[in-house]
Amino acid sequence: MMVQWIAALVMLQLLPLSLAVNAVLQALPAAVRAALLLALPLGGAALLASLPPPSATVAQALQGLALLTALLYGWRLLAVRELFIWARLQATSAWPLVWLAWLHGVGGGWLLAVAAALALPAAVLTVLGCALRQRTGGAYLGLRGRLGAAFPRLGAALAVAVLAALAAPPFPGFFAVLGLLALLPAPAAVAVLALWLLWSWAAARLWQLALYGPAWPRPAGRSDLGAAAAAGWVALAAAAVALALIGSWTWSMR
Amino acid sequence: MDQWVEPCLVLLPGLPALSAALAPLTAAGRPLRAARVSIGLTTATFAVALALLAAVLRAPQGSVTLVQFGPAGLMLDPLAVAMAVLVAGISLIVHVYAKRYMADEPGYARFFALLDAMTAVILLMVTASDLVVLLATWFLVGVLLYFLLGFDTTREASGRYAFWTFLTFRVGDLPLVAAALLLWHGYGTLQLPELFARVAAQPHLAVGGVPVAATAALLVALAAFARSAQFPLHTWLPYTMDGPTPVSALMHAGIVNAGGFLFNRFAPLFIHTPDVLHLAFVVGLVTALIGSALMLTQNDIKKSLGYSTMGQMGFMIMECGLGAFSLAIYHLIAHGLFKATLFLGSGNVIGDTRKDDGVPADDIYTFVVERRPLRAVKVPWLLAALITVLVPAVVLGLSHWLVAADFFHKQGAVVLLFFGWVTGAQVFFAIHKLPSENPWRSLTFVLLSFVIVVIGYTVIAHAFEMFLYPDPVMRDATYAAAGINLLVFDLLIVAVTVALVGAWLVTFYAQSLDLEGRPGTLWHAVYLNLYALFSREFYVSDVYLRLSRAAVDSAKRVNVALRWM
Repeated sequence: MMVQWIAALVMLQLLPLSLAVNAVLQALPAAVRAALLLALPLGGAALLASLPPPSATVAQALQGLALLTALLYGWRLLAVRELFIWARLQATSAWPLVWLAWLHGVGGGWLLAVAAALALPAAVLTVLGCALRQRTGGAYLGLRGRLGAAFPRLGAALAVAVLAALAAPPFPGFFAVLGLLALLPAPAAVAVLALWLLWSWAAARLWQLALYGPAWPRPAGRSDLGAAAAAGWVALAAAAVALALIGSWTWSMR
Repeated sequence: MDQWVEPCLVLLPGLPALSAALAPLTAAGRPLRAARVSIGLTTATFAVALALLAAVLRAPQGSVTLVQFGPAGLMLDPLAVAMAVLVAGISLIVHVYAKRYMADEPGYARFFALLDAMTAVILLMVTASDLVVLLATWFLVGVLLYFLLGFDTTREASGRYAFWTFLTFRVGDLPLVAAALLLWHGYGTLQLPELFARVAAQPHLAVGGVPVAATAALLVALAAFARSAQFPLHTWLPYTMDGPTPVSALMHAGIVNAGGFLFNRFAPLFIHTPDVLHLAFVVGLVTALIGSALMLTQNDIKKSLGYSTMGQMGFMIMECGLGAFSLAIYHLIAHGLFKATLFLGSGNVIGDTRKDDGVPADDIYTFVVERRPLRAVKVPWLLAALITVLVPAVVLGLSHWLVAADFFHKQGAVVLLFFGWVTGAQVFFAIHKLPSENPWRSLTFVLLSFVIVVIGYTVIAHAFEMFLYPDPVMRDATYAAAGINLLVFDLLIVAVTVALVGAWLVTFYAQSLDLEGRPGTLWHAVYLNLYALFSREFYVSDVYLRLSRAAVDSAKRVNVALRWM
């Protein structure tokens, strides 16, 4: 039981373990990191679903810790300009919401759905960060802007992925956050609303850095995303939206 | 209602949504085709909106059509159809205008796709019959507006102001989310018609000691304040002029006034919360005063137009605070139409200005070349001013005699008349300023226009009220909720009248009064400081900027300390 608890705390990282997990994630290759950004929360959610609910005192402490982690990383996100770090910190800010959902009675497949909805954008952003680094030599968005003019498809994919990361409708994160808010007591709900605002703020800052500013000339020999890759990203976004709508419908009919 | 209404209700947001998907797909190599597809489908959307209006007008009073898709749904009632016709109509005008205006811009098809998506989302918002769809569309309007305002990515300023708009909209979204959650916890439903029925049955329900209706109404009002640029959440509006002109027209005509729509949609909630309505009145009044004052002190004409919208939004919210909910919608439609005209015609103004030599006409030129009288004769102003007092008094007296003996005690009726009087008096001043060779003819025009405006405004507003709120109990309840002590109300009306007349007199005699004072005097220093305060827009934006920079800088320091882990 204790091992499961520790594993859950590592996989769905909460402070102070989040510092160590983030350090490890940063040291891994980006492709592995992207896979882990999806696998860790799903594994953590599966573990939590198999655990019995904690006592009221432990639940209270866990809720406080989850909110603190989410808000701290959400606030730190405001100052991040590098896409890989942004995706990693956004994930660390979003995953504590899985803990909150579990603490307020969400279990089984629904908990996995919430975890997937909150984890997918960060994983996608990491993959897109790789595509950006291939084309520009780095994924830092502060020096050059107007990504859309140089790489229209990549720019659009990034803008949409950031939209999903800030839990905007009709992406799954929106319905996950809304469903979670309906379960939380008022003080915790207010904290999650503040977190939602921080995500929006950070996302808008990232758009600013990527879409405006001095042009980012396309390096010779570097092309935009291919038509097949772009179609793949569109299909993924459409599937996510469709699943979100079906999921929220089923949830509300419970 | 008729059988065809339900599919049409689905088509209303469906057609522009389809256009948003089709426009970029059809544009490969031929961007103009995107505009044609978009305009064609927007025309069809407008036709559907008009057909729905006809259906609502033909249906028995108070009937509402609902289309359910599981937990989500669409609703057709007088408010939804009035807003749908306005939004679809203005969207069509903006589409047609943008076809040529945006022709040289890169991302032409993307622009039309965004415009269509925005139209679809607003139409979905005004027809939403449940809180989740309302929340999702309310949120999405902010997102789409960000990309529309920041369409020209070569201009950093447009991106910066799109960012501020997005952030303010998000600040305003959250109270609406909180209100929806509270209402759901309290009344156990997300469906608006069912929710309002339950609120009417238990208006004083409390959850955990918190009065649900009153708190939710306050939160809804806060959301409306942010969306309609009420002080101090107004700073985004005057700076959004960096976006493309068609977007400005759409925004000032159909997005910024969503606050008025929200007040009307939640009217059944607000009739149980008089304090929130009084707060809305105060916020609206402050916004109207500040917006108008800032409009007059700006040296940038586009910013001045932005502050003009802010002032109008203040009036709209003030009307809601007075219980004149339908008047707010009437105001919203009228303002939407004239502001769209102003924005779309702004290019012509610039063109005319380029043709004009800029030399003001002098008296000798006028007399010798144009053969017009040297001195224009104006209407005797005291006599004309008397009309502004006499006409409302006669209307009030006739209403007392013809309509109802207790007319003086009906605060809603007096409010309508008061707004009619203010508008009519503005028309009087506009005509009075015009020089005329025949003052008596002008006087007749003054009298006629004043009577038309006062009676027309009152009658139209009343007819509109009957359309939006056919239930007399509901109509009376809105005014009763906003009502205040009769003596206080009368004193307030007198005070506002005196203030308005005083302001008009000061404006009229501004030159001879020497408002600036002489240099070196205390009044001159006060005047200059006041002017600086106004021209810096009360430093509200500066405060927000400082606070946001502090938040970002401190986050940066923490990130460095934690080594970005």
